[in-house]
Amino acid sequence: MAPLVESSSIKKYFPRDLSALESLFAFIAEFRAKHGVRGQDAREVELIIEELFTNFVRHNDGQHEISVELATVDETICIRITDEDVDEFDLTQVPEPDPERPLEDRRAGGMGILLVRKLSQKVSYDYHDRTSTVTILKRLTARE
Amino acid sequence: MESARTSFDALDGNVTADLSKLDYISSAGLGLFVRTHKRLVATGHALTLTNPTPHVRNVFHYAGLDKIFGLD
Repeated sequence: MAPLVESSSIKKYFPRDLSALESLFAFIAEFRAKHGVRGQDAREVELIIEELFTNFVRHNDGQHEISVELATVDETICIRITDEDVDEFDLTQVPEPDPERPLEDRRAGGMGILLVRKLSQKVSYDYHDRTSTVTILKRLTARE
Repeated sequence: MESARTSFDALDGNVTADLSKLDYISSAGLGLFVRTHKRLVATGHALTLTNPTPHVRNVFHYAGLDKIFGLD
């Protein structure tokens, strides 16, 4: 798959284990500092990436590292997370929990995808040659 | 997260959590709050949350949990 944005995206591979979240956040921090993503935008970008990475680790059956690619285009951040040699699992088709349901009907899980959708302008899934890719577009509200 | 889960599992009675120092939360944290609140409610008690930061308040809102925890 072509890079998100020619010449300005950065990409890194992470072990498929939740212990990699610390280094993933360091990678995001480096990108944020370079591209002036701050404040609430920064928290939301971190949240989107954490939720997607965690989802891939928990639900995909792969053995390879997971790649995270980041780029900014004008006032939009592009996030692409790719997992190779896995079965198809389109998380964009997973039903969201109903946020209007009372507490006794809510379960503790399942909110990750809901949050990703609420925080993003576009969420897309691609499956090709046993590679799952989720691409997110998120408009940034303020940049330095 | 594991240490947080252990701490939350030990909570009993009516509990108020001040979120003013919490500047980030993901679905894992939300799940912890939901599970704890449900457990406490089952014994006639409740988990109350106060002073959320703007980001944390937004996350609770997007998850539809702000009304449940009185953050709306």
